[in-house]
Amino acid sequence: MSRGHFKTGALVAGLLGLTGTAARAEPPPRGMVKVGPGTLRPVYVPSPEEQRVPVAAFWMDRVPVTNAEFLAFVRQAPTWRRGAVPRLFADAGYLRHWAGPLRPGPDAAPDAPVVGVSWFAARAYCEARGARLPTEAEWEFAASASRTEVDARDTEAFREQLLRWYSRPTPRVLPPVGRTEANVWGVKDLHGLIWEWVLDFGNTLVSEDSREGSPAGTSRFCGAGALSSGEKGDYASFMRLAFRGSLQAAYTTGNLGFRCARDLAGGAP
Amino acid sequence: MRKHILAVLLALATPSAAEPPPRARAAKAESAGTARALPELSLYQLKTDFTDQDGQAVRLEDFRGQPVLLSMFYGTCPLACPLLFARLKRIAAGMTPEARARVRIVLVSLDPARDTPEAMTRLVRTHGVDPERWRLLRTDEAGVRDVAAVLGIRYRTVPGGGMNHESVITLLDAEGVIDTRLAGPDAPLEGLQERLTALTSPR
Repeated sequence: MSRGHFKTGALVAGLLGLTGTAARAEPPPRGMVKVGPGTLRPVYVPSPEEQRVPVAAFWMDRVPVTNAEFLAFVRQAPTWRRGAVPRLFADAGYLRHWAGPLRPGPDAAPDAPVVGVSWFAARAYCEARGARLPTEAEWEFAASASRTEVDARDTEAFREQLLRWYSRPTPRVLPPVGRTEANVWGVKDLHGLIWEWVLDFGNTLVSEDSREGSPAGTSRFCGAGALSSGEKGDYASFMRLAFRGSLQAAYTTGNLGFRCARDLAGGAP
Repeated sequence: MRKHILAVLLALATPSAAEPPPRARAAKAESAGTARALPELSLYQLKTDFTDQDGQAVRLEDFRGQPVLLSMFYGTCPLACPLLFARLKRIAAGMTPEARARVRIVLVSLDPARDTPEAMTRLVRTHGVDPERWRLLRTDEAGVRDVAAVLGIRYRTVPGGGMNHESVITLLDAEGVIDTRLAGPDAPLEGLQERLTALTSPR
């Protein structure tokens, strides 16, 4: 599906006045761009009815949340400062690379993405902004786009570009956000900088046969198992799925950050 | 080549090992202001608001002071949840009456839209369990995410309105810290039974 289709769709909806004011251009929340609506072809298909997952239009941060932004948040929210957060909500690695609870310091440049944050902390940050974390489907939908295509995952050059990043170790000091190319929606850094939390991380792995509690983990993504799923050759998507499947909500790692999302004010067109 | 990429990826993806950090005592004192501070890993740190099957407002912390068996369910579940009830009944049957009287079985709904207090009361009746000891709770969507997150339970709504979720029974000690986690329908019960006995024995 091309971007043209979406534009046409929005135009038609607007002309018909289908959703009243909602269909009209809504000013984007600060730092956000509109993504979708569209359809995600999930890399892992948990049931036959889920070959295609509809994704309603939503607002998404153009770039990941930075150290400076997270610092402003913890200044306002003392309970989320390093040392004050109970272990239940963030493990020992929480903001460990910061020089102090209120001082990011030399290893965490103000305009670099914040990492070392748990899912609970990321969610609290977004909520404080009146936003939320993007869902896994939303994030993956946005991340399927290249500079020119809404879904570029079948494009060899796009795949190779992603794998080149995934095969590079994370630098000790992360570069600033916004240095990578914007995708067709205007979103940057979905690839090439850090991993990102999503609201329902790992949940798509829970399928009929795992609901009784057999580990819905990553074993099924090892080796040949991965190749039996929907999108052959999309290793990068499998990696993200497997990575998220290994996470727990209190985990923190030195290359895992986040960005926020929001519903359109008038609801999904 | 592919193998190499995988190896690097796995290295990237490995979460940081939980090293004991130099905890900031001063900052900790802030949350320790109240009478008896909860342990850092206590699930009672969650301030989620619930309604129980009697329509009463509840917080998890209200169960502080006694061991709790905690799990999640949804009432319209055709298979996994009846199995969960059966399993919890077996665990309860394995306890002495004194121990049983001390343990609360707390089940949080994954489907608050349908699991109303009335529906939860019906469920308790259907399964013929003691409503004093079996407490069914509902909260909102964000609350469900929080509880599932601290219990490490993955779940999702599937097309058609049903849900897939992991079946995990968690034993909390009197302070709300996870003592034992029983994942899956085939996990042997003995270990959990032993821990229940230990936690309910008079000191």
